[in-house]
Amino acid sequence: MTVGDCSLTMPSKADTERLVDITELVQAYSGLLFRVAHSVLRSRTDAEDVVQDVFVRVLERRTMLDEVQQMRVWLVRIAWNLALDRRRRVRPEQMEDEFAAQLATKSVGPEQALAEARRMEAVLREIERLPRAERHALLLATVDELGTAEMAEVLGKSESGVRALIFRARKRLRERLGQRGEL
Amino acid sequence: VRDDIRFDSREDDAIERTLTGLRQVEPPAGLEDRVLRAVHDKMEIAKDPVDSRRWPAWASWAGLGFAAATALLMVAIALHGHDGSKSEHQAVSAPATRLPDTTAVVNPPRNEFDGATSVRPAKHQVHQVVREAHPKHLASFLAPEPPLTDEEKILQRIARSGDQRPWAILNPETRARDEAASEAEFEQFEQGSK
Repeated sequence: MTVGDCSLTMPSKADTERLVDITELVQAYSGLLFRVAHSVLRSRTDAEDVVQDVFVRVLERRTMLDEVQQMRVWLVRIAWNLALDRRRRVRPEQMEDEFAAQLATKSVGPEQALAEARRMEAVLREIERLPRAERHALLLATVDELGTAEMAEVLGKSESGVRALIFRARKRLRERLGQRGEL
Repeated sequence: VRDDIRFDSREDDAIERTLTGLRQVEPPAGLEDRVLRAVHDKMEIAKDPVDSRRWPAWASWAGLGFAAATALLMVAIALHGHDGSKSEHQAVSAPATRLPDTTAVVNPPRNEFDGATSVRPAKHQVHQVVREAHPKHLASFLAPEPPLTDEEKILQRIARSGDQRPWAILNPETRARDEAASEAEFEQFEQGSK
Protein backbone atom coordinates (compact mmCIF):
# COMPACT_ATOMS: atom_id res chain seq x y z
CA MET A 1 0.00 0.00 0.00
CA THR A 2 1.29 3.45 -0.87
CA VAL A 3 0.04 6.86 0.02
CA GLY A 4 -1.51 7.20 -3.39
CA ASP A 5 -3.47 3.96 -3.55
CA CYS A 6 -4.55 3.85 0.06
CA SER A 7 -8.33 3.50 -0.28
CA LEU A 8 -9.88 4.53 2.99
CA THR A 9 -13.55 4.48 2.11
CA MET A 10 -16.09 6.13 4.31
CA PRO A 11 -19.87 6.00 4.13
CA SER A 12 -20.60 9.67 3.43
CA LYS A 13 -19.06 12.17 1.06
CA ALA A 14 -18.13 14.52 3.89
CA ASP A 15 -16.33 11.71 5.68
CA THR A 16 -14.49 10.76 2.51
CA GLU A 17 -13.29 14.33 2.16
CA ARG A 18 -12.09 14.33 5.74
CA LEU A 19 -10.25 11.11 5.11
CA VAL A 20 -8.49 12.65 2.16
CA ASP A 21 -7.58 15.42 4.54
CA ILE A 22 -6.05 12.91 6.92
CA THR A 23 -4.00 11.39 4.10
CA GLU A 24 -2.71 14.85 3.29
CA LEU A 25 -1.96 15.49 6.94
CA VAL A 26 0.02 12.24 7.13
CA GLN A 27 2.07 13.26 4.12
CA ALA A 28 2.66 16.77 5.39
CA TYR A 29 3.36 16.22 9.07
CA SER A 30 4.65 12.68 9.67
CA GLY A 31 8.30 13.75 9.61
CA LEU A 32 7.78 16.66 11.99
CA LEU A 33 5.74 14.57 14.41
CA PHE A 34 8.38 11.84 14.28
CA ARG A 35 11.09 14.31 15.30
CA VAL A 36 8.92 15.73 18.08
CA ALA A 37 8.27 12.25 19.51
CA HIS A 38 11.90 11.23 19.02
CA SER A 39 13.16 14.23 21.00
CA VAL A 40 11.35 12.83 24.03
CA LEU A 41 11.72 9.09 23.47
CA ARG A 42 15.07 8.78 21.64
CA SER A 43 13.80 5.58 20.04
CA ARG A 44 12.86 5.34 16.38
CA THR A 45 10.38 2.52 16.94
CA ASP A 46 8.59 4.28 19.76
CA ALA A 47 8.56 7.57 17.88
CA GLU A 48 6.95 5.88 14.87
CA ASP A 49 4.33 4.29 17.09
CA VAL A 50 3.52 7.72 18.47
CA VAL A 51 3.07 9.13 14.95
CA GLN A 52 0.63 6.31 14.17
CA ASP A 53 -1.24 6.96 17.41
CA VAL A 54 -1.50 10.66 16.56
CA PHE A 55 -3.28 10.00 13.28
CA VAL A 56 -5.51 7.35 14.82
CA ARG A 57 -6.54 10.02 17.35
CA VAL A 58 -7.11 12.47 14.50
CA LEU A 59 -9.31 9.90 12.79
CA GLU A 60 -11.31 9.41 15.96
CA ARG A 61 -11.83 13.18 16.19
CA ARG A 62 -12.34 13.75 12.47
CA THR A 63 -15.66 15.49 13.03
CA MET A 64 -13.92 18.35 14.82
CA LEU A 65 -11.11 18.83 12.28
CA ASP A 66 -12.87 21.85 10.79
CA GLU A 67 -12.74 23.60 14.16
CA VAL A 68 -8.98 23.25 14.57
CA GLN A 69 -7.37 26.67 14.14
CA GLN A 70 -3.69 25.76 13.99
CA MET A 71 -3.47 22.26 12.62
CA ARG A 72 0.31 22.04 12.85
CA VAL A 73 0.45 23.09 16.52
CA TRP A 74 -2.54 20.89 17.35
CA LEU A 75 -0.84 17.82 15.85
CA VAL A 76 2.48 18.61 17.52
CA ARG A 77 0.74 18.96 20.86
CA ILE A 78 -0.94 15.56 20.45
CA ALA A 79 2.38 13.97 19.50
CA TRP A 80 4.16 15.70 22.38
CA ASN A 81 1.61 14.52 24.96
CA LEU A 82 1.54 10.97 23.62
CA ALA A 83 5.33 10.84 23.67
CA LEU A 84 5.50 12.11 27.25
CA ASP A 85 2.90 9.54 28.24
CA ARG A 86 4.89 6.75 26.61
CA ARG A 87 8.12 8.09 28.10
CA ARG A 88 6.86 7.31 31.62
CA ARG A 89 6.90 3.61 30.76
CA VAL A 90 10.49 3.50 29.46
CA ARG A 91 13.55 2.98 31.66
CA PRO A 92 15.76 6.05 31.12
CA GLU A 93 19.12 4.26 31.21
CA GLN A 94 17.99 1.82 28.53
CA MET A 95 16.91 4.73 26.35
CA GLU A 96 20.16 6.71 26.70
CA ASP A 97 22.42 3.71 26.10
CA GLU A 98 20.92 2.89 22.74
CA PHE A 99 20.62 6.41 21.42
CA ALA A 100 24.05 7.58 22.61
CA ALA A 101 25.73 4.56 21.00
CA GLN A 102 23.99 5.23 17.67
CA LEU A 103 24.86 8.89 17.79
CA ALA A 104 28.49 8.37 18.74
CA THR A 105 29.19 5.90 15.91
CA LYS A 106 27.86 8.46 13.44
CA SER A 107 29.86 11.42 14.72
CA VAL A 108 33.31 9.91 15.45
CA GLY A 109 35.50 6.99 14.48
CA PRO A 110 35.21 3.55 16.06
CA GLU A 111 38.18 4.15 18.43
CA GLN A 112 36.59 7.20 19.99
CA ALA A 113 33.00 5.98 19.76
CA LEU A 114 32.91 4.43 23.22
CA ALA A 115 34.20 7.54 24.99
CA GLU A 116 31.93 9.77 22.92
CA ALA A 117 28.93 7.57 23.70
CA ARG A 118 29.68 7.88 27.42
CA ARG A 119 29.89 11.67 27.16
CA MET A 120 26.57 11.81 25.33
CA GLU A 121 24.99 9.44 27.82
CA ALA A 122 26.11 11.78 30.60
CA VAL A 123 24.56 14.78 28.83
CA LEU A 124 21.31 12.95 28.13
CA ARG A 125 21.15 11.69 31.70
CA GLU A 126 21.55 15.23 33.02
CA ILE A 127 18.90 16.49 30.61
CA GLU A 128 16.51 13.99 32.17
CA ARG A 129 17.34 15.35 35.63
CA LEU A 130 16.52 18.95 34.71
CA PRO A 131 13.34 20.50 36.09
CA ARG A 132 10.43 19.41 33.93
CA ALA A 133 9.62 22.76 32.29
CA GLU A 134 13.28 23.39 31.40
CA ARG A 135 13.72 19.85 30.07
CA HIS A 136 10.62 20.12 27.90
CA ALA A 137 11.67 23.47 26.44
CA LEU A 138 15.18 22.25 25.71
CA LEU A 139 14.00 19.03 24.02
CA LEU A 140 11.33 20.75 21.96
CA ALA A 141 13.93 23.27 20.83
CA THR A 142 15.82 20.43 19.13
CA VAL A 143 13.01 20.23 16.56
CA ASP A 144 14.25 22.76 14.07
CA GLU A 145 10.95 23.18 12.24
CA LEU A 146 9.32 24.65 15.33
CA GLY A 147 9.67 28.36 16.00
CA THR A 148 9.56 29.88 19.46
CA ALA A 149 5.92 30.92 18.99
CA GLU A 150 4.87 27.35 18.17
CA MET A 151 6.89 25.96 21.05
CA ALA A 152 5.19 28.45 23.35
CA GLU A 153 1.78 27.24 22.11
CA VAL A 154 2.67 23.59 22.68
CA LEU A 155 4.14 24.18 26.13
CA GLY A 156 1.48 26.68 27.21
CA LYS A 157 4.05 29.42 27.95
CA SER A 158 4.86 32.84 26.58
CA GLU A 159 7.61 33.19 23.99
CA SER A 160 9.91 34.99 26.40
CA GLY A 161 9.12 32.31 28.98
CA VAL A 162 10.25 29.60 26.55
CA ARG A 163 13.47 31.47 25.78
CA ALA A 164 14.15 31.87 29.50
CA LEU A 165 13.52 28.16 30.10
CA ILE A 166 15.96 27.17 27.34
CA PHE A 167 18.58 29.51 28.72
CA ARG A 168 18.17 28.23 32.27
CA ALA A 169 18.18 24.63 31.08
CA ARG A 170 21.49 25.04 29.27
CA LYS A 171 23.04 26.90 32.15
CA ARG A 172 21.95 24.31 34.71
CA LEU A 173 23.06 21.50 32.44
CA ARG A 174 26.51 23.04 32.04
CA GLU A 175 26.86 23.56 35.78
CA ARG A 176 25.77 20.07 36.70
CA LEU A 177 27.98 18.41 34.10
CA GLY A 178 30.87 20.46 35.44
CA GLN A 179 30.17 19.44 39.03
CA ARG A 180 29.95 15.77 38.15
CA GLY A 181 33.12 15.86 36.11
CA GLU A 182 32.06 13.03 33.81
CA LEU A 183 33.17 14.70 30.60
CA VAL B 1 40.02 31.57 35.27
CA ARG B 2 41.51 29.94 32.20
CA ASP B 3 40.70 26.51 33.58
CA ASP B 4 37.10 27.60 34.10
CA ILE B 5 36.83 28.76 30.50
CA ARG B 6 38.28 25.56 29.17
CA PHE B 7 35.97 23.54 31.47
CA ASP B 8 32.87 25.43 30.35
CA SER B 9 33.69 25.10 26.70
CA ARG B 10 34.08 21.35 27.12
CA GLU B 11 30.62 21.13 28.72
CA ASP B 12 29.13 23.35 26.02
CA ASP B 13 30.76 21.29 23.33
CA ALA B 14 29.28 18.04 24.68
CA ILE B 15 25.84 19.62 25.10
CA GLU B 16 25.91 21.07 21.60
CA ARG B 17 26.99 17.79 20.00
CA THR B 18 24.24 15.88 21.79
CA LEU B 19 21.54 18.39 20.90
CA THR B 20 22.74 18.48 17.30
CA GLY B 21 22.45 14.68 17.23
CA LEU B 22 18.85 14.99 18.35
CA ARG B 23 18.22 17.71 15.78
CA GLN B 24 19.54 15.68 12.87
CA VAL B 25 17.33 12.64 13.35
CA GLU B 26 15.61 11.74 10.10
CA PRO B 27 12.31 9.86 9.95
CA PRO B 28 12.58 6.28 8.66
CA ALA B 29 11.77 5.50 5.03
CA GLY B 30 8.18 4.51 4.35
CA LEU B 31 6.87 6.13 7.52
CA GLU B 32 3.85 7.69 5.78
CA ASP B 33 2.80 4.38 4.21
CA ARG B 34 2.98 2.54 7.51
CA VAL B 35 1.05 5.28 9.29
CA LEU B 36 -1.67 5.22 6.64
CA ARG B 37 -1.87 1.44 6.87
CA ALA B 38 -2.27 1.66 10.65
CA VAL B 39 -5.02 4.26 10.28
CA HIS B 40 -6.70 2.10 7.65
CA ASP B 41 -6.57 -0.99 9.90
CA LYS B 42 -7.97 0.98 12.79
CA MET B 43 -10.84 2.17 10.65
CA GLU B 44 -11.63 -1.35 9.43
CA ILE B 45 -11.81 -2.60 12.99
CA ALA B 46 -14.02 0.34 13.98
CA LYS B 47 -16.39 -0.32 11.06
CA ASP B 48 -16.73 -4.08 11.70
CA PRO B 49 -15.58 -4.99 15.18
CA VAL B 50 -16.67 -8.65 14.88
CA ASP B 51 -15.71 -9.56 11.35
CA SER B 52 -17.31 -12.83 10.19
CA ARG B 53 -14.34 -13.48 7.89
CA ARG B 54 -12.00 -13.60 10.85
CA TRP B 55 -14.40 -15.48 13.16
CA PRO B 56 -15.63 -18.81 11.75
CA ALA B 57 -19.08 -20.10 12.74
CA TRP B 58 -17.72 -22.80 15.04
CA ALA B 59 -15.82 -20.18 17.00
CA SER B 60 -19.00 -18.21 17.62
CA TRP B 61 -20.83 -21.31 18.86
CA ALA B 62 -17.86 -22.29 21.01
CA GLY B 63 -17.83 -18.80 22.48
CA LEU B 64 -21.54 -18.95 23.29
CA GLY B 65 -21.13 -22.37 24.92
CA PHE B 66 -18.18 -21.16 26.96
CA ALA B 67 -20.09 -18.09 28.13
CA ALA B 68 -23.09 -20.21 29.18
CA ALA B 69 -20.88 -22.69 31.06
CA THR B 70 -19.08 -19.83 32.83
CA ALA B 71 -22.39 -18.27 33.87
CA LEU B 72 -23.65 -21.59 35.28
CA LEU B 73 -20.39 -22.14 37.13
CA MET B 74 -20.54 -18.66 38.67
CA VAL B 75 -24.14 -19.21 39.83
CA ALA B 76 -23.14 -22.55 41.38
CA ILE B 77 -20.16 -20.97 43.16
CA ALA B 78 -22.30 -18.10 44.41
CA LEU B 79 -24.93 -20.46 45.85
CA HIS B 80 -22.35 -22.74 47.43
CA GLY B 81 -20.29 -19.83 48.72
CA HIS B 82 -23.36 -18.28 50.34
CA ASP B 83 -23.93 -21.36 52.53
CA GLY B 84 -20.30 -22.09 53.08
CA SER B 85 -19.33 -18.56 53.97
CA LYS B 86 -21.57 -18.61 57.04
CA SER B 87 -19.87 -21.56 58.65
CA GLU B 88 -16.46 -20.34 57.53
CA HIS B 89 -17.12 -16.91 58.98
CA GLN B 90 -18.15 -18.43 62.28
CA ALA B 91 -15.16 -20.71 62.40
CA VAL B 92 -12.58 -18.08 61.57
CA SER B 93 -13.88 -14.93 63.21
CA ALA B 94 -15.11 -16.40 66.48
CA PRO B 95 -11.72 -17.08 68.05
CA ALA B 96 -9.98 -14.10 66.47
CA THR B 97 -12.47 -11.43 67.54
CA ARG B 98 -12.74 -11.32 71.27
CA LEU B 99 -15.99 -9.59 71.89
CA PRO B 100 -16.31 -7.66 75.11
CA ASP B 101 -18.99 -8.30 77.65
CA THR B 102 -21.45 -6.09 75.82
CA THR B 103 -21.99 -8.99 73.44
CA ALA B 104 -23.58 -10.82 76.22
CA VAL B 105 -26.18 -8.09 76.48
CA VAL B 106 -26.79 -7.89 72.77
CA ASN B 107 -26.80 -11.64 72.21
CA PRO B 108 -26.98 -13.78 75.31
CA PRO B 109 -24.99 -17.00 74.89
CA ARG B 110 -26.93 -20.11 74.22
CA ASN B 111 -25.98 -23.47 75.49
CA GLU B 112 -25.92 -25.82 72.58
CA PHE B 113 -27.19 -28.59 74.83
CA ASP B 114 -30.21 -26.71 76.13
CA GLY B 115 -32.24 -27.56 73.07
CA ALA B 116 -32.69 -23.94 72.00
CA THR B 117 -31.85 -22.84 68.48
CA SER B 118 -28.45 -21.14 68.25
CA VAL B 119 -28.80 -17.48 67.22
CA ARG B 120 -25.82 -15.62 65.78
CA PRO B 121 -25.50 -11.86 66.35
CA ALA B 122 -26.38 -9.80 63.33
CA LYS B 123 -23.41 -8.57 61.28
CA HIS B 124 -23.95 -4.88 62.06
CA GLN B 125 -24.14 -5.68 65.76
CA VAL B 126 -20.81 -7.49 65.64
CA HIS B 127 -19.19 -4.62 63.76
CA GLN B 128 -20.52 -2.11 66.26
CA VAL B 129 -19.16 -4.09 69.19
CA VAL B 130 -15.80 -4.56 67.53
CA ARG B 131 -15.53 -0.83 66.89
CA GLU B 132 -16.34 -0.10 70.49
CA ALA B 133 -13.75 -2.62 71.60
CA HIS B 134 -11.08 -1.05 69.39
CA PRO B 135 -11.48 2.73 69.41
CA LYS B 136 -8.32 3.13 67.33
CA HIS B 137 -10.33 2.00 64.32
CA LEU B 138 -12.25 5.23 64.53
CA ALA B 139 -9.15 7.39 64.38
CA SER B 140 -8.27 8.63 60.91
CA PHE B 141 -4.80 8.24 59.48
CA LEU B 142 -2.28 10.99 60.10
CA ALA B 143 -1.80 13.47 57.28
CA PRO B 144 1.46 12.97 55.35
CA GLU B 145 4.32 15.31 56.17
CA PRO B 146 4.39 18.50 54.10
CA PRO B 147 7.17 18.71 51.48
CA LEU B 148 10.45 20.38 52.42
CA THR B 149 10.90 24.06 51.65
CA ASP B 150 13.71 25.13 49.33
CA GLU B 151 15.79 26.26 52.31
CA GLU B 152 15.25 22.92 54.08
CA LYS B 153 16.30 21.07 50.95
CA ILE B 154 19.52 23.07 50.82
CA LEU B 155 20.23 22.32 54.49
CA GLN B 156 19.56 18.64 53.82
CA ARG B 157 21.97 18.69 50.89
CA ILE B 158 24.66 20.34 53.00
CA ALA B 159 24.17 17.77 55.75
CA ARG B 160 24.39 14.84 53.35
CA SER B 161 27.19 15.95 51.05
CA GLY B 162 29.32 18.02 53.43
CA ASP B 163 29.61 20.58 50.63
CA GLN B 164 29.61 24.04 52.25
CA ARG B 165 29.02 26.04 49.08
CA PRO B 166 25.19 25.94 49.20
CA TRP B 167 25.35 28.00 52.45
CA ALA B 168 25.91 31.00 50.21
CA ILE B 169 22.46 30.53 48.65
CA LEU B 170 20.84 30.96 52.06
CA ASN B 171 22.47 34.36 52.45
CA PRO B 172 20.04 36.97 50.99
CA GLU B 173 22.85 39.28 49.87
CA THR B 174 24.73 36.57 48.05
CA ARG B 175 21.52 35.31 46.50
CA ALA B 176 20.53 38.79 45.30
CA ARG B 177 23.99 39.23 43.76
CA ASP B 178 23.73 35.84 42.01
CA GLU B 179 20.27 36.65 40.69
CA ALA B 180 21.45 39.99 39.34
CA ALA B 181 24.37 38.30 37.61
CA SER B 182 22.07 35.63 36.20
CA GLU B 183 19.66 38.29 34.95
CA ALA B 184 22.49 40.12 33.20
CA GLU B 185 23.65 36.86 31.63
CA PHE B 186 20.14 36.10 30.38
CA GLU B 187 19.79 39.55 28.84
CA GLN B 188 23.06 38.94 27.06
CA PHE B 189 21.68 35.57 25.83
CA GLU B 190 18.46 37.26 24.68
CA GLN B 191 20.37 39.89 22.71
CA GLY B 192 22.54 37.21 21.20
CA SER B 193 19.58 35.08 20.11
CA LYS B 194 17.73 37.99 18.46
